[in-house]
Amino acid sequence: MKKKGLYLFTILFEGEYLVYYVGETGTSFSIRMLQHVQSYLDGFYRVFKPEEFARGKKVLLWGGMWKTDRKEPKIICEFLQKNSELAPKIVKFIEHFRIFVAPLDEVNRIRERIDSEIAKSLNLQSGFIADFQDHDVRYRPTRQMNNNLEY
Amino acid sequence: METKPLPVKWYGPYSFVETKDENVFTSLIGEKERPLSIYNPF
Repeated sequence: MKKKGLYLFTILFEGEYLVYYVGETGTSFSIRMLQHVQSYLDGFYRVFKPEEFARGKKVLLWGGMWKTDRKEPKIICEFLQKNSELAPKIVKFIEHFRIFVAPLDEVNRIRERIDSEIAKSLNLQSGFIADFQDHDVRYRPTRQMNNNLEY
Repeated sequence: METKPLPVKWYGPYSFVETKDENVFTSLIGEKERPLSIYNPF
């Protein structure tokens, strides 16, 4: 998977795919997916209880370490203390992902804009489709004023 | 200004957790193309 482009993390839910995360990469799918796995396994990303997650419900298991208020050493200590309990559950959690990729050779900014619009569309849905998104993920949407002139 | 739709085609599903026929790290693009039913509005 040396190609770059857009990707979706979904779960199989009632015979269809429910999107959890929309991403894009300018490196390669393979490298980016490995980065995601590393970030789950080392506690950087938040993780939800796997059984509930598989049923479309997000019950927080681990809060991750990427937010400003989670960067303190005590949070890493907490992760280490809970590691034997968390580690198998994190693996279970990522087992549930079903990943779709869309190769796209456009420049980075185009990819970012598409990424952002897909995420926005999902967030604007009502009910569990929007609820299944993490609402604090930062995307880089199209600028309002110069829609046709610049990225 | 007229814009053309981008030729975006989705492939998958792949999985983080490896099985012989489903592996996001080593599978080649185009190997697995399946009908896609996905929760999004476009």
